[in-house]
Amino acid sequence: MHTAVGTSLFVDMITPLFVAYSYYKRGNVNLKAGLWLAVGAILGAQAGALVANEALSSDLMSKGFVFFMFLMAISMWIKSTRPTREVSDSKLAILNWKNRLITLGIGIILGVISGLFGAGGGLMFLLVLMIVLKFPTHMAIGTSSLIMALTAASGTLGYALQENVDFSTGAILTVAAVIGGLLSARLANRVSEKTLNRLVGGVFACLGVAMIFLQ
Amino acid sequence: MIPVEIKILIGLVTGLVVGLTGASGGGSRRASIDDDLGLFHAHCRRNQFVC
Repeated sequence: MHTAVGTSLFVDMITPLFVAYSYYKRGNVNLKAGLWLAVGAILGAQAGALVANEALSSDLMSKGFVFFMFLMAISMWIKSTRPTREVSDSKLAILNWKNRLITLGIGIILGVISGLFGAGGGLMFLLVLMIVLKFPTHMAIGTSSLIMALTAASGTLGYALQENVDFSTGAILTVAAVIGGLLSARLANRVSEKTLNRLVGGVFACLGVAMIFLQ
Repeated sequence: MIPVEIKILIGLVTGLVVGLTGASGGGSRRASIDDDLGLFHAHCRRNQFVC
């Protein structure tokens, strides 16, 4: 089981890195905010996972994950009906020390939730980047990918040190995932924000329904 | 063992989701690459950050 988690984290580390770079080339990654959020998330996730072992049932966590999926799907569809945002509209557009601390704090809170629910964190980061911090969708997705790569790297390192990463399986999954990721990132970077919101909302709705049936 | 074709398919779907949404769908994928192809429970997934 640990090898499955370690191998999956390995894929989660490499793939979003390529995806984030694809968004970065189009100016759709807030590098500084992403790094501060990632540092907070890595710290928070450790604490969250420790509490999760003691307090939360598997069933509750699965339901929480589905809830986040549908919340995200609804948010994206609502957002697609509203005017497109500019980068300058986003909070934390200027990263002074106050905003850095806010970013770090948000990262810690999301990290704790991520550790509690066992999710990679991408979904919650996307939700907060878009709804709380008012990032445009493309930038939210690009920055979320960067954060995911960094948080997954922290987990992968630990699993790899304990030889709980199947690198041969991981390599096959990663190569395929990078190809798929670059293709869909290319598509995402070409469509308008409204279209992207609808696409992403649709994907989350499908994943939410799939998870209900899989449970 | 999982056939290579299935691994490639899982990887492709993962990548498509990551590239489009910025989220990994890691929970569902992790369930499909368990060591012995069986499913494993959420209590294992939530340990992903604990090394």
